[in-house]
Amino acid sequence: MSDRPRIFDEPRIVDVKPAQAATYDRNAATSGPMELPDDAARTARLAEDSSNDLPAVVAGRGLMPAAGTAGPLRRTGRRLLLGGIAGLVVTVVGFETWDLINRAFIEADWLGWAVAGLGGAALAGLGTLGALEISALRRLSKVDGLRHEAARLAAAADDPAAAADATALAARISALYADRPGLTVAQAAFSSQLTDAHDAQEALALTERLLLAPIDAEARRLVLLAARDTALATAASPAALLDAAVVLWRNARLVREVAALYGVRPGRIASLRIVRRSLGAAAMAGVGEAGQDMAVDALGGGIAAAVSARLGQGVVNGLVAARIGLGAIEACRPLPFQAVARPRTADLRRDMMRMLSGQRAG
Amino acid sequence: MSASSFDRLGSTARRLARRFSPDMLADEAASLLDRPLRLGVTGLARSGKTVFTTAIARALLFPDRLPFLQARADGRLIGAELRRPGDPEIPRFAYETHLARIAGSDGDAPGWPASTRTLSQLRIGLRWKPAGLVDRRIRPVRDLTLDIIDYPGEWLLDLALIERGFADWSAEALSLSRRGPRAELARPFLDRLSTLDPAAPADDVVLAELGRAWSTHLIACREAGLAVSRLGPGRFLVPGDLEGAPVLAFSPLPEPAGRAPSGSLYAVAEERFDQYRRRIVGRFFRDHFARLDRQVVLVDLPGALSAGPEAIDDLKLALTESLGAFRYGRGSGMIGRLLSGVRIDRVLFAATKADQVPASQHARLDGLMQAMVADAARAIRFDGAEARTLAIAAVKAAESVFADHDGRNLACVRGWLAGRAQASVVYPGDLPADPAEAIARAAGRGFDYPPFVPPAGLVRDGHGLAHIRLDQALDHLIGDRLA
Repeated sequence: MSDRPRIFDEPRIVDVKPAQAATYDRNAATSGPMELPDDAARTARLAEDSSNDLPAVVAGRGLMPAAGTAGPLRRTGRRLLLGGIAGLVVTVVGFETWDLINRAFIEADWLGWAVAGLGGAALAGLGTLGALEISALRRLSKVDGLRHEAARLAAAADDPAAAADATALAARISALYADRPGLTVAQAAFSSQLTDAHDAQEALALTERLLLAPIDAEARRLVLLAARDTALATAASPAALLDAAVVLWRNARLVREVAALYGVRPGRIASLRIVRRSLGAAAMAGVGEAGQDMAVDALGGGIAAAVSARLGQGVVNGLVAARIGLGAIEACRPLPFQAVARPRTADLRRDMMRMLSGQRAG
Repeated sequence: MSASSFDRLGSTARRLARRFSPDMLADEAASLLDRPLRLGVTGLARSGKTVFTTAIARALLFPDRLPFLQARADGRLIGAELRRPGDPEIPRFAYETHLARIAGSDGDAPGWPASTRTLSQLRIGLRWKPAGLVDRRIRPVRDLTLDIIDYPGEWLLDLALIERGFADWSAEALSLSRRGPRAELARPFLDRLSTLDPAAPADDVVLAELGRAWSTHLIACREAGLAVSRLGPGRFLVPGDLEGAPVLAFSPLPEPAGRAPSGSLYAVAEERFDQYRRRIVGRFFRDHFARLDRQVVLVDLPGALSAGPEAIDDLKLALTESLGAFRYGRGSGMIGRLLSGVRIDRVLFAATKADQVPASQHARLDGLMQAMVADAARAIRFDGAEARTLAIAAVKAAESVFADHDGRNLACVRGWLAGRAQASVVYPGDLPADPAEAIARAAGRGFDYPPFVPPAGLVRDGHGLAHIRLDQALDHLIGDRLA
């Protein structure tokens, strides 16, 4: 069953095509060891793959029974309703604008042109904003795709192609942050340390440790700042309504900052989606940490309340901001926390308290 | 209670207080904390102990490329330095020489260090910042001294001799040497033996001659790649400073019919075997292995797979026998450690030379390693120590590539074979996921893992050497002490 070892000194390496590297021959076992001509070789490291065609991930409904005909019907109904209303509004606005322009032209030519220009400007602005919004959503879903792919690779332990895929995934994540001057050192360290010998999990862990760690640290700093601002604003504000507004505004800004940091650059709608998910993640974290948090929060709040009810409320609001920030990190990070410890509200609380009491945060 | 008994009590208390003054206790505690961590690098001959030791010294001195060493990843590792070794009687590990050999210096092509002929030691001082907030307040910078010894792998086999008798050992050694391919190589020795009567009066010349003949036979067997684990005693293969010493002047002998009279060949050989066991093996064990804290067992699995199933069986036997000599597990707290000596609390079974195996099959290599040491690892874990396996390469000399051949896409390795001008691409065989199948396929010579030499320019960039999972190995072995 063995070809005798053959020896070729070979001249050059052929460029890699990812698809070929991935279809590695599992039936190779049938032939014996041998030496091959070098021009047959492709490096196992894949060149950066810029394509966006991530495998479609089907969000399974688990054990829930299929919705039957009611589900699609309901969705169609909703779409008809919303689409119809939107269409009506657009038509009304269109008619009105058209009328307006016509009326202006009747008054005077210059007025007509001016009104038409205003209408055109509004249309262009709307189009630009819409395009930005769509691209923001696309970026968000791209990051989601990266995360799903990472989860798939982490699960596919024995797949020989997984390592190559993970390297490609790492390259895509690295490309996501290619324009950050502060990350050049981390990028260089990352690309010099990732070798062909790392398996999928190791490649992803390296990405987290070398590439995402500085971003995580910065995100954490942003969250801390927001938590402090929120706490101080709540403590200092004279009216409940005012501090509610401040908290809302500050949290929204935090979410946008975190998202931009991780390369999501959200528009309004994308922000809303991130906020929704952050709240979900914050609530999830809340469930996990509820035991300790409730005790400590109650205790901390209790002591603070004894000093000042406002300050206590400020601390609580700061913690809420911290949780939302952590949720945003979770929602925007291209990889799930695996090799790097997930930041916890408990740590943030400690640092926030230190910040509030005037010390430097660790 | 009388006044005098109070006095006595008081003086005892004072004496005790003098003895255990707080200063002294603090000193004691500090010396306990600063006690060198002894890392035992164990492995049979050619499993890569010297390269491993050189590579971890280099990696700790130049700790970039250690992303999976937690202390390094956290930025807490300040640095490392080579220190003067603790034992004045043992030569220092020639780190610089070995490194220069691996990197290739002064016109020499890069290569692997020659096999170790004698004992040597290396002491590395590590400086790091503790992770915990409280620890950081107490001592912001900490020191850890790491002691490593290098020794000929052949000596490790002797640990299996510690609990054996001469008659028992002789019988096994002789029957082995009469069987299979060994018989041919043992012929000169066996011929000489057949002309002798073990009950005859001892003659130093004859004994020395027998010793030499046995040693020649062992070396011939090793050259032929036969039964590594049953090639004892180790000093007959690599005598170190015992070259020509009387304690090596013996060989296995058939047991004479009656009781061997004192002063007979058999009796003297038996006495020398016992001396060898107690003085040579016992001291080696006591001085270098009995006090180990951590142990890494290096296993050249690709080499064994290339050599066939006998080599794998042999390897497994050698592992089982030599590991039996170690004690594992934590003593009960610090007192337990003081009283019962130090015990090994972490063991790493490392399949070395993983760079010879395509990276996509490293998980399978690791699986095979796990299967090989499953029994030993279970016993170690039962004793309370942590054991894990890893596929590593202390120095990465080859890269994994995919190659087209006859329309199939094969997982290959690419590196420099000794003496070639250009890199070669080698398909070494496809390691199956099932360990039993892997061993079966080794029987059909299904694997041929090539001995690549290190690539040129390894050290020139001023970084640590390229490696595979050496950082994970280090993290398992010493990472907890850097927390």
